[in-house]
Amino acid sequence: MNTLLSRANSLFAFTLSVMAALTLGCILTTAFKDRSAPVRLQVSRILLKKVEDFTGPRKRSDLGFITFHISADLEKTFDWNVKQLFLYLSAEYSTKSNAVNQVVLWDKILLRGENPKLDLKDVKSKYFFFDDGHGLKGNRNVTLTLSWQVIPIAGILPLVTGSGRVSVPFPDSYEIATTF
Amino acid sequence: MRRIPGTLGDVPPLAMARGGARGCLCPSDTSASGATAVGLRALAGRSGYARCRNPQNILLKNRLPLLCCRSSPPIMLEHLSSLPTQMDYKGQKLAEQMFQGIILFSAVVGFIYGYVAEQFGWTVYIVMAGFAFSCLLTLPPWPIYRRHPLKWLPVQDLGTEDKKSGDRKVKRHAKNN
Repeated sequence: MNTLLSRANSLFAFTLSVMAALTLGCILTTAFKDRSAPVRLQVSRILLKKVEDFTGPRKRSDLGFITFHISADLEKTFDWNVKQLFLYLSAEYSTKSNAVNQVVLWDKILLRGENPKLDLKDVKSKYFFFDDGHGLKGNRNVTLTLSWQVIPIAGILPLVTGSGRVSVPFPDSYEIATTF
Repeated sequence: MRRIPGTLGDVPPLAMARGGARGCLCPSDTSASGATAVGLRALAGRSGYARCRNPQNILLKNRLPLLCCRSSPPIMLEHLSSLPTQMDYKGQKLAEQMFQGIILFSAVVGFIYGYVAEQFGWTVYIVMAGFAFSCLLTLPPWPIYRRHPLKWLPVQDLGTEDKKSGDRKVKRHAKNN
């Protein structure tokens, strides 16, 4: 410890070790917290079209357009170890060719500091709701759920599914919108 | 050789701006002046000019900064590196305890404050402030770290020293054989 540089070195290394210990403490205070929250989903309009699928093999497939409302209170999921929440709305259904299909329709990044009480009306889907085939036409049960991924400052990233979900039937014919 | 005032026009302005009020520290008189003296001589354009003449100094101080009587960067660096940075052993121990204590204290305070304010950023800021404060307190060798200087043995006179080194030499031969 005799020279200035060696003193500075030991000081800096000690500070970094202390910082690492504090980060571990921060992880431990929020590691076992329950991150789920109640969600209310409503679908307002569904339109089905038959379009050439440009995302895969070029055959004409079902393409759905959904407009929905979301309301959720996510205030409890934010704490000092959360940087942002990555929310996404996914649709799940089954067809003759596939037992389970899951498609992400919409997503949002919610930073800490923004309003955590979500109340969005008439949101259009952001991504294409393609089916590989004609499984959407007349499908009785398409379930929409809102899930989110918690992105912490330090630690594991938990994936949580919201508690509310809504199931809607798809229309039997193309180019005719059903409203709810 | 007399210096004619007004011939400093060919000197680059950067060189003239350097050097604070260090008095008449003539580069040629100090030990680390080899390069600077040569440089000065080259700039002055006359061989052998590097000596300060006091009356001229007073005359020229009012008009233009004299290149020879201000210290130039290499000399300033020498002075900086020869600043004392040592502490004695008890002072080192004290310094280490102090910075560890300060950083741990700021870590605890920062953790609690960040938890209460729900922002980890505050924890980091408080720890960094503790780091800066302990840098200021323990890196420079303040006098409190120098209160127990080492007690060196008194200088031994030449007679006994020679005898001792002779003894040692003899001992070494004995071991090798």
